[in-house]
Amino acid sequence: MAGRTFADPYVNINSIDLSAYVLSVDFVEKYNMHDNTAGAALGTSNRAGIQNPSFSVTFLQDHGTGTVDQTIGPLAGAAAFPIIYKPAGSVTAATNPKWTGNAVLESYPVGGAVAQQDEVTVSFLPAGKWTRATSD
Amino acid sequence: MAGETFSLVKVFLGSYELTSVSNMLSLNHNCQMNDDTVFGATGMSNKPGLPNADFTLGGLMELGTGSSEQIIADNIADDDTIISVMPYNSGVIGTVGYSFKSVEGEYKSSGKIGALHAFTMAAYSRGLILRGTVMENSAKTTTTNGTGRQLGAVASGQKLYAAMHITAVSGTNPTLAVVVQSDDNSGFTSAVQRVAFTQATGVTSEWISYSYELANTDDYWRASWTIGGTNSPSFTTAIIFGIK
Repeated sequence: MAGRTFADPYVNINSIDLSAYVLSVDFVEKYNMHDNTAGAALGTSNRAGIQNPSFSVTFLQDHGTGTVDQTIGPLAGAAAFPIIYKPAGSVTAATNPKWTGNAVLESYPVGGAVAQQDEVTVSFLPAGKWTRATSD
Repeated sequence: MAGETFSLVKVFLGSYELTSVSNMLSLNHNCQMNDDTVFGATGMSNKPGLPNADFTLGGLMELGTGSSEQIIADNIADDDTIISVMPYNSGVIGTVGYSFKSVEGEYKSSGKIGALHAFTMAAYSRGLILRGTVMENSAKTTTTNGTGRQLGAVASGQKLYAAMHITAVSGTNPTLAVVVQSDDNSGFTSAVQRVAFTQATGVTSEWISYSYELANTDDYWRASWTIGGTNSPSFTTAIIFGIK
């Protein structure tokens, strides 16, 4: 039967391993599309432009030393920093491809509802092309 | 009682069949509409422009060599990846099939701890969208002729298009040569080869076409193939024909 349980993603933000705090991940490798429909075309045609990925993670918030808030908070509006994402643990392999790239953080939300679990969702924007690899 | 359950679907991306890992798809076969309303009109009017398609596929992520993750990641941004969708009855031959050349523009990997790891991908058309007929959808192990179907004659300005996906191959030095034949009768007593796919020696996909010829009024079409190799060569093959 197809499929796997999403259980142990590896998320490293600015050289800090925050995997233990990850609740969910959305990674999108996306390319800008350009309409290159030209004369005599029988249908609209598209061409891939440059890569435009996005990476969004929901963390359990933690204000301890070297954890979520201290790692991500200062990155809002800061210069680009590296991100590493692997969907199945820390060891890179064909069964656990590694995505790496530089990113910037436009905003860092602080807040929540009283008595609810403190979580934070951050969305990283690319600062250059992200690459996929099956070995380190 | 009317109605169908959307379940017996087959979907192909290049030389891969993604049916067994997919659980959602959306194929929007669109057409640009241009407002051609002029003075004196008593109602708004629109004129069709060029067709286009946007395609979204979702399913269960698998990791590893030959997995859904690798297939989708490897094909992103590549021009002219052939996508085919057989939306009914598992693509039994004679049912409707859609094919188009595409560029994959987006691949999303989503996961929530403890839940199934999911993917979605989005692709966009490059040229016409073919609504055609499933001609073949099975493993080919012997040289023979496929089932003929009365698709109609290719009229002036039209072409017959054929999309083929070979998703699995076995045997020693296997070869598969598929050609498109037409005739004016269902018995194919005077079959004529009109166009041929490139001989396949492994998994592949291909899109070919045959242009209108004044002298050809044949309205029956079939695929015919020749198998070569030893140790029980086999090619799992899906083919869609359509005239547009």
